[in-house]
Amino acid sequence: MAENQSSSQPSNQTHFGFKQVDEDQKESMVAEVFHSVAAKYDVMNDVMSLGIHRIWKRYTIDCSGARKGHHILDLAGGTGDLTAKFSRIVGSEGSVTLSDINPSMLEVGKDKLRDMGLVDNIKYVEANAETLPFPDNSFDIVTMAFGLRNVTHKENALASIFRVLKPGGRLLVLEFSKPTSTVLEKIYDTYSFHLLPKMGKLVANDEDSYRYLAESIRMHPDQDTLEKMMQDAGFEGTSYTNLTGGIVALHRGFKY
Amino acid sequence: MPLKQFISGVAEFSANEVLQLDSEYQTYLQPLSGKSLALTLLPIEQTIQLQFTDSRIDILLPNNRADDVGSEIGSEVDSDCHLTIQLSALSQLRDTNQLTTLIKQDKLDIKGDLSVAQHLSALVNGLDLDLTEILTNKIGDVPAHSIMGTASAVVNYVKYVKQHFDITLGEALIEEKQLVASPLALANFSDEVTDTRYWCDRLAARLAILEKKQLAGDK
Repeated sequence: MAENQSSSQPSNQTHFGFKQVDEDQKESMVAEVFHSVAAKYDVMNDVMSLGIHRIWKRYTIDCSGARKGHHILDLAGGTGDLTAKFSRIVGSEGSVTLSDINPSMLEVGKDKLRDMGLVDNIKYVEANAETLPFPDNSFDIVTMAFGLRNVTHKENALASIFRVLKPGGRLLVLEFSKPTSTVLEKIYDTYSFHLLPKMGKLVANDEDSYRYLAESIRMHPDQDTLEKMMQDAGFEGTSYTNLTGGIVALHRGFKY
Repeated sequence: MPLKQFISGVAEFSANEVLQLDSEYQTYLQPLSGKSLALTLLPIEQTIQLQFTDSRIDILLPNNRADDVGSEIGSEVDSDCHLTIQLSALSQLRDTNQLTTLIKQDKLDIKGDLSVAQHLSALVNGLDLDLTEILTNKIGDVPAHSIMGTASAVVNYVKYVKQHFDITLGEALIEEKQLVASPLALANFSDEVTDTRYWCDRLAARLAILEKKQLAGDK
């Protein structure tokens, strides 16, 4: 698995897509990718997934158990797709914190949510998931949709999330994963490594960023490995659901 | 792809698009703003949650999974009003006069703030969707009138064809294939059953009298 590959590398090296880079460099390189795609992020998501990412996100929200008065952290929340819905669910008694390490993504999200008239109960925080700047036991729910694979030290991020969750709170990680069928995997590989970068070039004039996206998906831990990582971070009652044949998986874990 | 979420997404999009067609929709949504209503359908045990703001409706499908410790149907749901209804009675829900009857028949259970359900009913019944006016605003008078005229003719034609088809099918089943009894045969059979029951009852009464007499004679 990706994590095993990482552990066989020199300790100060990590992967950036299929490349090996210094750990210190990865954060800025990922930041550069997302700074580059921020403006066209939503359009590209729709084009790349044929709109299915909206269904995956709906499923995540339905599994979140979010209710009025909850305090929710939408980590690596990017352009705020989950935040928008959570904001309406938690109402004025609750709050949603949209957090992203990338200021460009956060800015796009802020503009979008303001245009939707959502201003009262949303906070915007530029933060690194590995060192979250929130007090212990602050949130009822933490979600991370398509963000964890870009984090350099995933175990640190999971530990940090565990710290800021309230007892009884839950973490939902929506992330690309490993297709369960070999036929689907082959089709998916062809799509991601050949078609996706070309679509990136066509729509966003950025082939390299979308090649990194495809590579980073392959380097991300598979379903069972990520579940084990969540358990190691202290999460209990962990489980995952494969969506669209395992192309994406939703992992859940609770802090008791 | 989660099919339920796809359907709820389409339903949410459609509901909000339909709402926007009525310029007065915010008047009806205002009393519901910030409120939520959950609807649990039995026996499929699916809960649908409607979350209202002053400008839109969000549709959620609160998830209950077997691996949730202590999970019960609707346990993930926290709404201002929760209706639990038999699927077969769903069509009767629009008629608020039927609510008491449905509750008495154990087909409907209401928990929480009933005014949320009443406001939703007012929203559904109060929407004034004049399609001709909506089309006129978008494409102009003449094309709108033509489209609505054509649509009306098509609807009437479909109704006529359906009526004609029903009659033909009925005649084929009753007269030609004789797979179904005609209404006259059915009424005749019903009369015969009633007569037979009458004679059976009379016979039973006579037998009872004779039995009584027999017993009296023996004593």
